Amino acid sequence: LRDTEISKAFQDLEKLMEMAKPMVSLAKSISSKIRDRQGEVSDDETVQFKSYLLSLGISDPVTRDTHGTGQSYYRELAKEIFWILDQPLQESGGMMTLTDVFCRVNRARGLELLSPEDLLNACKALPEAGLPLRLYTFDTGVSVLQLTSHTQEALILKTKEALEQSGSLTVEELSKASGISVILAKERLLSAERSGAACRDDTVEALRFYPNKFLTC
Amino acid sequence: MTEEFPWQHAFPPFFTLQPHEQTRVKQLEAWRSMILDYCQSHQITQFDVQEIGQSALFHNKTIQRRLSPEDLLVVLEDLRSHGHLEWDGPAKSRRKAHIYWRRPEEWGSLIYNWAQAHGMTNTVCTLFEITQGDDAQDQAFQGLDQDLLIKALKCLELESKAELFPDQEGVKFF
Repeated sequence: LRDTEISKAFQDLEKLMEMAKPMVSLAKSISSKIRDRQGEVSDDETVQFKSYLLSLGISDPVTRDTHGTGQSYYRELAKEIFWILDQPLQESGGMMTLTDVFCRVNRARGLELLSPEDLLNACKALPEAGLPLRLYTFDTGVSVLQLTSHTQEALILKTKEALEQSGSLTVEELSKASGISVILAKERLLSAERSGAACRDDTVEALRFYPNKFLTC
Repeated sequence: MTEEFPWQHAFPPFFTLQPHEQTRVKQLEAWRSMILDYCQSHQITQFDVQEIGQSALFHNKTIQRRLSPEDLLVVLEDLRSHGHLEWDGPAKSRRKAHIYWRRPEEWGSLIYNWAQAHGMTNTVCTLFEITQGDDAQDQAFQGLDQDLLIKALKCLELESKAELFPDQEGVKFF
C-alpha cells in the first residue's frame, strides 16, 4: 500500500514538472518578446511579469535586470528587513554581518523562509526602497548591513578612540569591549589599519593593534 | 656615547613590518636612521647579519620584541637601496655586510679635505698614516676600516683627486 502511495506521489511530481516546463518556455518567450519590443510594454507589466517569474522560481537575471529596476517583491522584502533589524542594529553599533541578518530574519519569520539569494537581492534593493540601511562589503569579502547613520569614517574614528583609550587591542578585546562579534571587530581594526589610523604588532602571542604613532609622531 | 634608542624602539609595532604603505615607509625610515646612528656610535663598519640580529638594536628585551630574520633582511635591503649598505661576498647569500653610515664618497671627501688642509696634496702618504698617523688624530676617519678606506680612496680616484698605488699601501693626493 505504501509503495503505491509513494509511486503515486512521484507520478504527481512528474506531472507537476511537466506542467512547469511549458510555463518556463512561455516565460522565456515572453521575456524575449519584451526584449524585442521594448517600449510597447509598460512598466507595470514588466513588474507584474517579474513577480510571475519569482513565483515560478526561474532565475533569468538578464531580462529581470534589463526591464524595470529590481522587483517590487525585493523592495517589500527590504522594507521588512529594515523593520526587523532597525532596533538590533542600533543596539549593536550599526553593523551586522549578512549571515547574522540571514539568521535573524529567518528565525523571525518561522515559515516562508528566505533563500540567501533573496536576502542578498533584497539588501541590494535597500537604496531604492529609500531605507537608511546599506549593504557594504569589506575588502576581505565579508558582507555586512550598515545603518547609513553609521558611516565607515565614523567607525574608524570610533575604533581609533578605543585604541587610544586602551593603548592597544586585540580583535577579541575590541569585540568584548564594544559588544560586537569577533568578525566585525576584526573588520573594524583592519579598516582602521587600512586608513592609517592603526598599526599592528604581530607576535606568537597575538595580533595586537596600536594607534599609529608612526604617522602621528 | 650612551645607548639612546628613539621612541620607536620601545613601541611594539616597530618590530612588525607594517602592511599599510605610508606607515611602512615611515617605519623603514626610522629603522634606517636608528641603525646608522647605532653603528656610528659603536664604530661598526661591517657586521654578520645573524650576529647583529641578536644585538640590542634588533631585540628589545624590555618589551620582548625582536625583528624576525626575514624582516631584518627587508630592513637591510632598504638600507642598501639608500646606498648605506653593501653585501660582502656573494650578494645572494646576504650573510655579511658593510654598513656605511657615511657613504664611501662622503669618507673620500672628508679625507681629501683633511689632506688639503694639511698640505698633503701632490705628496704620497701611506694608508696607515691616514687612519693611524699623528696628523689624523681627532679626525672622524681615525681607525677607519681598511676596506672602507680603500673604497673611499677609489671614489676620489674617480674624481681624479687621488691615485691609489697598485699594492694598495699608499696613495697620492692631487
